Amino acid sequence: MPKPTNPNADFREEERLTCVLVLDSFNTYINEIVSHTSLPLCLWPVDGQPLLDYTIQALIRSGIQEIILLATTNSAEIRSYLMSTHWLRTYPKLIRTIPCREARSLGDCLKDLERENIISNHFLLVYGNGTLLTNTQLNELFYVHKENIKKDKNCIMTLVYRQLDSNHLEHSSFTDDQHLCIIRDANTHRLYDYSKEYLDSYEIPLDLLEKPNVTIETLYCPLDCHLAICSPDVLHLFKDNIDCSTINDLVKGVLRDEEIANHTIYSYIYEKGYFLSVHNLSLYMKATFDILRRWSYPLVPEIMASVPKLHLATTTTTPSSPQIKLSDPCLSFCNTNHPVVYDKHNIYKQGDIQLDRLSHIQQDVFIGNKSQIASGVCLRSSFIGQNCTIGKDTRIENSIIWSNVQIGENCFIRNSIICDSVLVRNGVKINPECVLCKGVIIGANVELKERSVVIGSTSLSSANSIDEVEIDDEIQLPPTDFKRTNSRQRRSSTRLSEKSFSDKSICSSIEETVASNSDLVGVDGFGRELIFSYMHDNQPNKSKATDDDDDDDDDDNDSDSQEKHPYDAWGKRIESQDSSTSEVEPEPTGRISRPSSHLNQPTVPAANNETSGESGESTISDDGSSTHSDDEEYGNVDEFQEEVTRTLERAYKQKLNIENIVVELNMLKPTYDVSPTEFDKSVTRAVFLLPFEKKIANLFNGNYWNALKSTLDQTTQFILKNYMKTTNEESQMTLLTELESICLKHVHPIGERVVNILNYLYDQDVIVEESIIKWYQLKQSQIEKNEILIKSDEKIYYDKLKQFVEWLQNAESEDDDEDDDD
Amino acid sequence: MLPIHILKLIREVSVRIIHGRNEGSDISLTLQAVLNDRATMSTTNEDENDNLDENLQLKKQQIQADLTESLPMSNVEGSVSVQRLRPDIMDDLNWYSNEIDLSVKNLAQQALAHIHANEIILTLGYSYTVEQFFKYAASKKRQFHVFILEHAPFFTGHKMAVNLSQANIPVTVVTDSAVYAIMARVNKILIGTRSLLANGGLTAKSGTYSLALAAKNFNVPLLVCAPTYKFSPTYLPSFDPVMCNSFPSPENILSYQSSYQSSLDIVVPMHDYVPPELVTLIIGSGMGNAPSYVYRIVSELYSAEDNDLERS
Repeated sequence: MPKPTNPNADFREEERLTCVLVLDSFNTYINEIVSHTSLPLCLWPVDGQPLLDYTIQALIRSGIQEIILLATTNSAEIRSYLMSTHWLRTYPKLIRTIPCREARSLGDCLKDLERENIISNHFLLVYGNGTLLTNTQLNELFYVHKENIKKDKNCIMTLVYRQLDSNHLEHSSFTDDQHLCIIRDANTHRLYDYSKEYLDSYEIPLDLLEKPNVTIETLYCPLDCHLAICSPDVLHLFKDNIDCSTINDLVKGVLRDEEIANHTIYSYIYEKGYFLSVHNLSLYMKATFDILRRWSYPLVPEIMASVPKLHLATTTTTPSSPQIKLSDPCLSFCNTNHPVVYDKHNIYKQGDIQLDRLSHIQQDVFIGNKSQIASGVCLRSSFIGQNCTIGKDTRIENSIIWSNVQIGENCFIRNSIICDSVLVRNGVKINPECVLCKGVIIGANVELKERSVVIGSTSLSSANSIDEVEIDDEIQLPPTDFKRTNSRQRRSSTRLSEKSFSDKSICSSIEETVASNSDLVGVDGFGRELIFSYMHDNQPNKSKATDDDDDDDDDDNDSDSQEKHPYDAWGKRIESQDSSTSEVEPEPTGRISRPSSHLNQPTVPAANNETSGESGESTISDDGSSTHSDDEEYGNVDEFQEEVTRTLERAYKQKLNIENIVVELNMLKPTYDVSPTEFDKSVTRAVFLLPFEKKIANLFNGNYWNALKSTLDQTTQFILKNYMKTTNEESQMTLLTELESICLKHVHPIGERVVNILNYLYDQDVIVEESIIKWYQLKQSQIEKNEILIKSDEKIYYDKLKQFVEWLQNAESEDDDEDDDD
Repeated sequence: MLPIHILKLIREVSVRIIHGRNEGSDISLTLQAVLNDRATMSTTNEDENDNLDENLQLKKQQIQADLTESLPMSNVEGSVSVQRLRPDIMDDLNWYSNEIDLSVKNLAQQALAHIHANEIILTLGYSYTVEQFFKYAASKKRQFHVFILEHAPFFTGHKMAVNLSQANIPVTVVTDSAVYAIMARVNKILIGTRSLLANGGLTAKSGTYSLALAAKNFNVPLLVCAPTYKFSPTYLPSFDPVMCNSFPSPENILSYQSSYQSSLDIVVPMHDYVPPELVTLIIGSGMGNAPSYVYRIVSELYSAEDNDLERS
């Protein structure tokens, strides 16, 4: 039988198309806010339907046959929601939920998935909070991925992007991807480099351009769909590399170690179609309005609402299924079966609504069932949920209002989110980017300032309840607070302002800086502000004794990996700047300082060292440290050093393959948890101290130079080349500095041989001339300033060094002369 | 009783089609849900399809394909009865798809009566029926020239032009905006339609209304090819263009950019309503009819209880 409408016919025989949704944004800021609403972010209503429904609908349209939901702390809500929907009934085998309660990151979730051992084929991975709104058929991605594998069997992942015009830079909702830059092969679409950080200049590694048959193409600011097609190997990679907590880490890791691990990553770019991954509040609002403006057609309200929800008619057939949340009013919005009527100017009316004749509904508005709009109301680009009442002459723009909300007269609400059961009294003004969580009451004539998050009662569904106290408006605090060095001190605390006057006075007596609750929500209001703060060491002392316990809890919850999320709930990057309180200003010279001074240095850029420009330093070090914490926290370097030496010795003795050694060394890295710089240093030390090892020393009768030359010849020069790339100035400097410290320590066998060593390294192209000269000049300037004291026995080393560098410079100038002559 | 539920489903789907709220893949989902729900109650598959709304037949083909592909997933509770139902449903669907083919074929055979030698004929966008109509005339060595409006922003006219030119028919593609300018040269307009309402009006591709108005102004006859299954028993409740229309993504017109402000309103209607007084002739499967006669045909084709599909 002909199947013209069946695009998946080929797949159906061989495998089930699987999609994995990771239903958590792993952003503490958002999770904090979400915990004060009644729903996890993936179930937030978007135009009358939960976000998850849009995603599932999009996936079903794409012919996905199996959807695996990885739910973290919110798994109970998600499960009970699914129980109450029609999805499980119409597609009994479609959706399965795997709770990963312990998961702190995407990596943890995927590890849990790997343990379940249910993935045997390629799968789609949706990792931006597990919500992807798209009107494109995704099944073709499986073809793309398979084609990539056919051409290159090492391909493990294909990342999906949507090409955008470049003029969207200012738009806040794309902040996560704002500086995304990828370098790929224009023909094969193989990914070569990848950067999400803002950089003033971006360096393309030279060896990339020299590769034969590769046409390099750079793409700046594509929209990251947070979508990837992965081979099952990806799960193993996440399992094996403990330090990979995000896709970002994995991609960077694979690209950097590309030559050893032999994995490659490809990219695929959509030229058209709507894609949006909702993982912060800006994107949530954007999704709402984009859908109202029908960009996501056919995922638009009136079609989504007309998908029959048979479970309502036939709930009795499965009495065993727990219908827990059906009665829960907060989920009621998705259980209604009211048809949605689409009208001109993108106005959607659901079920029965009371609309006053004199109300002014401008455009892009959704009004939920049983809502009442009084006269003189002006609505524009807004979503009004069910059972809402909006008083006279109120203006609402670009806002999202959930169900059962009452809004008084003469209010003005802009760009804000108002959750369930909120009461807003008359004359209230709510400025952009406010969030009013469940049960809040805003008193009359109050003006909420921008970006306030007001939360209601303390009886929350979420486990991590947060209590008490805060400094006013932490968001404005100097960015020092976000320094990773203070990572343990983050706390989010809030201040409850009771209606009762006495309570309030007590609170304010304890801390003067706290804005009183009545100041925030008015005398007849109820609610307190949720504030994210990063405090200095000295600041906790100010907090009062009563909240210590709570703070401890918070620390336990928050001090783990999540807290370093560089974006706030609205997707704005939390900028880091140096401030007077940070101990040491990062200096360029710090990078090449000796290990002894190393601990005092701010974190050295890790993953970005190839691309770091001097000017972009502060931001880079910030980002680099988001994956690696401080040096103090690194594992025992000595042990690591020992291990590296052992490895190299064995490699030399057994004449092991270079690639195998590199793999082995890379494996050591996460085990001992050393920083990349420390790693480089250890390798260098190991290489030059190798000849001292007994077994090798005996071979050469203790002749250091012969032993060193032999090891270098056979093994170690390749190791050095692999790690200290000549294009990477920083690692070259590390190498030289380290070599020097070894020379000074062992002047007798090594220091006096420095010319031979340097000459050898130079001949073998391990070190380039510029690096040596630059390093030497730096050295000289330090000597001139008397920063380095030359001991008498070290003199021979410096003499030799000088001799070599002079020769080098002369040779260079002779070369130049020759060139000139030619 | 299963037939009742299938009938109910068909009504629901057709209501959604008429109101522009339909999206293909829903049907398999719905049908499957019905089958799952009613699995225990199913007895025999009676000839429930006989008094079907003919408007749905194209959709039934889709169901056919969807059903076969979605069956492997539904074999939890209703596997036995679904397996039992399947051959019967397949038979009926095959029968209908044959009838649809035949209906278009019959219609195309009237081509020589309507297309005369060396005429210039204008059409809008792609229509399978119209394509067959032209090809039949060309296969009988009739010489004529076709002007095709490209049907922006969907540009289905391009496909039509390519298909016709492959049959050695001289074709000219014209932009939609030139419809008035070109009308003076045209002898005849021949278009397809999405459906034919009971009053003789059309819901057709967007742009048809302006085409029809221009034709009226120049007194160019407007012929509509409507095989039997396009006849619908419903009327439009109002002349509001939003009713019975679909509004797809604005991406058809402007590429997506997040920098657009909310003051930018982009409207992409899929269909136009053309009132019956602008239509000259309706070419059905049997013969040509005036629009005013359509209500008679509909009452012959449909059972009285199908006239209001939204009645449950």
